[in-house]
Amino acid sequence: MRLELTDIHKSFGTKHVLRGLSLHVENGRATGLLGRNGSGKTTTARIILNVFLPDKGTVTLDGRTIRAEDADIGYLPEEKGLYPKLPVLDQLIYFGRLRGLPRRQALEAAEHWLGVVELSHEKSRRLETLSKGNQQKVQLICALLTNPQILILDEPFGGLDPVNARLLKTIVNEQVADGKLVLFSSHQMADVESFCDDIAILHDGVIARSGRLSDIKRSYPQNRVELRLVRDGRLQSQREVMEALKPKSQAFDSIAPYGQDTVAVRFRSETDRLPFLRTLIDSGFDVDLYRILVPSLDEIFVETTAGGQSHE
Amino acid sequence: MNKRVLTVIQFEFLSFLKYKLYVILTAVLCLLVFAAFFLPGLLAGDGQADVIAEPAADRQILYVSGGSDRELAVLGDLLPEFSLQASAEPAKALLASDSDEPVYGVLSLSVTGSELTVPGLAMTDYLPGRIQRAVEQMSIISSLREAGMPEGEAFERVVNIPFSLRDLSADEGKGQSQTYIYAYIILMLLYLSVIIYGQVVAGNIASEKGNRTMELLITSTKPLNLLVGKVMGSGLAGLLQLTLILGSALVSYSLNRAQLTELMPLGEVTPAMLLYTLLFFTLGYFTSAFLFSALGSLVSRTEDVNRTVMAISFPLIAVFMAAMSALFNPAASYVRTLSFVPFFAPFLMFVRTQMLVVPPWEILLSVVISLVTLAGVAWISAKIYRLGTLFYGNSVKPKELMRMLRY
Repeated sequence: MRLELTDIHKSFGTKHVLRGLSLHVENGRATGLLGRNGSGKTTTARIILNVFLPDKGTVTLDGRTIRAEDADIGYLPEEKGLYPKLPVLDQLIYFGRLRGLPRRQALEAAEHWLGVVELSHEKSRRLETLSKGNQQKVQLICALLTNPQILILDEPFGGLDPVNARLLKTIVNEQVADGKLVLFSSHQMADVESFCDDIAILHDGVIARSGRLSDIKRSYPQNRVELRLVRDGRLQSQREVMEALKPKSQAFDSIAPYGQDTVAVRFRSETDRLPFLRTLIDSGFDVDLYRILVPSLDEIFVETTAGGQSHE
Repeated sequence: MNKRVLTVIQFEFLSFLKYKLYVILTAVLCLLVFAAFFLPGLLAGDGQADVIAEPAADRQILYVSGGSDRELAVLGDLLPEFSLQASAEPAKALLASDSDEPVYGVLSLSVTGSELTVPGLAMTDYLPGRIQRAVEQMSIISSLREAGMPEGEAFERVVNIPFSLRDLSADEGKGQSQTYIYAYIILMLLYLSVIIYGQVVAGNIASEKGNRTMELLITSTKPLNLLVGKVMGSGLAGLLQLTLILGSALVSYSLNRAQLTELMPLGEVTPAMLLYTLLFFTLGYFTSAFLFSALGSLVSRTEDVNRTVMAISFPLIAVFMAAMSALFNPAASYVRTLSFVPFFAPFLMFVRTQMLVVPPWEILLSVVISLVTLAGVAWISAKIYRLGTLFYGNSVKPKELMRMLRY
């Protein structure tokens, strides 16, 4: 299954939110759609859901134009939207039936998922009386009720404690392993990094960077290392290391404090790494830690989205 | 009908039944109707006993000045409901004097012009007309007597002039005087239902938008399914309430028919009239309910609903004013014209079918026009609803509304 958005444009009045967005998402892999606040993540989700028609561009599923009423899409909106005053089970059945399940099947699915997220005992309570985390679980069940082939999750882990976040991640991972197509929109980089195989960074109305996260990381030059040095049997502080390396500044590009007693050294080229290591040893340092630094998703995101116009 | 529409109808209808205010309001209204229909009977029961015991006690005094004894005697026969007393004192003094017995007024007779003085006239008081007629009859009797006719014969001739009224529309069961009250009651109920239920539906939609349920709803099923389901679900709740209230009215009316026929001559409500009532009630209700719903989707807070629905409440008032004025003159040409004009048609044609004999093709045409209007309104409302639900922040201006319709 392949969901493809091609050259999507969407404006609201004078606000040009999407300016030729192209993106494809495949089943069996979780794709993270990243972007700053107001970058158009929710608008993209709504276009896939057929809530908005794009001004220009196409949305296809396996090459055919998608029709939201035919394609069953499980949607978890960022702004949670169940009925606050209605009992949990009642509204799950209602939403299941709205999406075409017979009553009995809706009831069974709701009961099953309530059991999975350990909320069976809360099913008769009004939604608003549940904790924020539990409300979020009910909201996720609502998206999963019809066993949809496509899941669009907008900030699904907001407001969850680590235990519940892990439970929900397990559930979504099972969906991915089950061959579902999962699009996950967030600006919580840690969640995305631990969770998604593919990423797409939305910036200035287009996908500024996309692909497998591991490939993207590998595409960055490996010209940064983290170092911890020992001299005469004594661990060197960050200041001592930086002072000692000052005379050898032609061997690297920059140096800065990094972690606990470590510094990060950036080279002009990857090939400068090993000669520099030899120099250190020749100067009488023992190397306690030497690690090539791969950019974190956070850094990739900031680098990709720095500058450009703000949409807020 | 589409299964998902049925799901929405059921959900909306049941949420009304679970709503305490709805249940209490319906019960209170039914009780009020019972009270209103039983009360005149209970009161009249007491009143009748009084009348039989002391028939003279209720007679008001009418002072008469300027007439002869003979004239006074004739007048007394013509106005048995008054106790006539001759007096020469000025009217103001007579009315100002304290009297244990009730005084209606002072009648001063004169050949140049008689005058009736009363202390205060109620709007519905028909007695001055009765007195004027009696004075006219008395002067004719005097003239006939002067011309040589015996007074007894003159009195009989004048009082018993045969006169009868025949209303042709009444022959077909549509006497306007009889159906007026029925049509009036139904129109008022329709107006109240449209305004109250329209506001409730608009408020529900605004609150769904406020707590963001809307986004989940419109991604679960088509907006038209939701809108039709919501309007019909609340429509059913409204019809149920109406049926219970009308049912209470019907039961209590038939139980108290004897006392009520004079107060409220409902006349005969034929099955055809009931059918038209249901038909036009439904058409009028749903057309307005769709518009209310669309407007409800344009605001994000329930507090703003009242302000926004004014856009439809005011035109509705115009429609109802037209329908109300049609009650007084259903045969007027403007009523006929308006009964084919979109939005006016269900209300005006309702009045015509209740009070006149309308050719079937005119009814059919009006129904077709109303149905087309309803379909158009539903379609436009669904578009507004679908996009309105995603517009948050300031209320939508007409210009933006036009743009939304193009999406």
